[in-house]
Amino acid sequence: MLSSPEEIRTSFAKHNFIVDRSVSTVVYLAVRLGRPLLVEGPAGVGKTELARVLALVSGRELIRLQCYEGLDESKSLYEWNYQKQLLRIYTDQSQCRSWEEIRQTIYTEEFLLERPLLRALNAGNETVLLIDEVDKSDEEFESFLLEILSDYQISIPELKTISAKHIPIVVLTSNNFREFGDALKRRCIHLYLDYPDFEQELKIVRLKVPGIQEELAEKIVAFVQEVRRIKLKKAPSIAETLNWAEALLELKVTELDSEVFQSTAGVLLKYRSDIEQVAAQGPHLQQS
Amino acid sequence: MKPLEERIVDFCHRLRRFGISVTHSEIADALRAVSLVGLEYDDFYAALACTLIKEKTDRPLFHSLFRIYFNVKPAKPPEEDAGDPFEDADSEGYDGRESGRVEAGKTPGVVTEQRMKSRIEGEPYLLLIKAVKEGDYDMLQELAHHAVKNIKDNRKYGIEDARQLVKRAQDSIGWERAIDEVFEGVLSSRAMFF
Repeated sequence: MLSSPEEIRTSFAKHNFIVDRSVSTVVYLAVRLGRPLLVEGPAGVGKTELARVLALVSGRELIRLQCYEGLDESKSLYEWNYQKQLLRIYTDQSQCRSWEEIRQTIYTEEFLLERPLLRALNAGNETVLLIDEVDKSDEEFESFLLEILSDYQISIPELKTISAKHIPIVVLTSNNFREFGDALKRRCIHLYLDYPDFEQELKIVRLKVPGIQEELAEKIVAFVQEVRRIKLKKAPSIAETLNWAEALLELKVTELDSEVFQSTAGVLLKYRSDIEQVAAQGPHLQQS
Repeated sequence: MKPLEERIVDFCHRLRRFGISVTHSEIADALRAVSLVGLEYDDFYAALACTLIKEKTDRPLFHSLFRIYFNVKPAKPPEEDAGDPFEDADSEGYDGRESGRVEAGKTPGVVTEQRMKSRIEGEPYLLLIKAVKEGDYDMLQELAHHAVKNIKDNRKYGIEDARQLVKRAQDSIGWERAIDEVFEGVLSSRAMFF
């Protein structure tokens, strides 16, 4: 399924995920070299989607770990099911077992809560492990992650060392929220995913908003492409282009003028100040 | 080692000289990557970029060095490097920005004093390059005055927004051209070391 860049590109396209050749080449290389794929780029260009589609086309299960500040091993790797262990100790009490006996019963897989990282290592099938927004986690977590992504094994002191049965395809995403570790980056294959260019975004609009008039689609995409050049609080993502196109289609708009923009801008832009800025400095629209 | 592999390793060492740090394991990744995708231009480029360059800010420099080293006609750095009009809105910003570029290549390009002088007349962008290279703040100030004066002279066009004014001020002293020249100059002078 992932045997050449071209094949990746066509199978991605079958799932309505359009990428250019260089993107598929990088994905192919990460898979073949067995390296984590670090996807960076602005919000809304499809970084998470890429991992999802990669799992779909390779027939692998997608395991997702969402990062946030304060994420630690107990939430990402494993945790002992403390309450269940207590219950067990409680029910065993009457039988007057020794501590050694109790210890052996409560530190078993039955009482282990698998979190995404352990689940990916332990999985019987091949998986795609998505570590989303890794830049939001803290440094401590990062170095711990680096260790796992180097050996693909972890040791649970009370239990055993677990090595991955199948090395997962690992995809990390980052919005550059924070500069993160050099060492982790060096381990990865780097993919910079940017907003699509005009041709590509037009292709995406045609594909996802069938029934839209060619001329209108072109105008919408050209407009959005221009808007992204303006420094805004939040530049429109691909999804927002699509939502806007759908809205305009629904409203049976044929001409993109300033009135249409004013009345639908909320679909495309999420901040009042952004809307005002685009109205003032944005691409020229005809007065209606 | 095959000649191609030698060349790639050599290229990686040269990247280091430009301040793009590359580790041994990354070089090993790059070699394996190239062996997987072959030498077709875009694939070869992508293979080296994705294994060696991990910081977005290193991309434009990598792009130019790649083209020089692997004998591709030099072209402008990619769009993303074109810069943001807002960033340059004050003179502080543009001083920092340009000297930053010169810094990237460690030594400024070799353009002889004589050639420089003969080209300066009527070409403010050359003055701008020279001032940046020599850290001549008086000259930079002079150019800033010149730029602001040009805006005033052009008032007849009517009131425009701040961005356009800044843009016009920059244009009047050959801003973009100076950036291109400094960048290309640094690269071609370094290219002799290749």
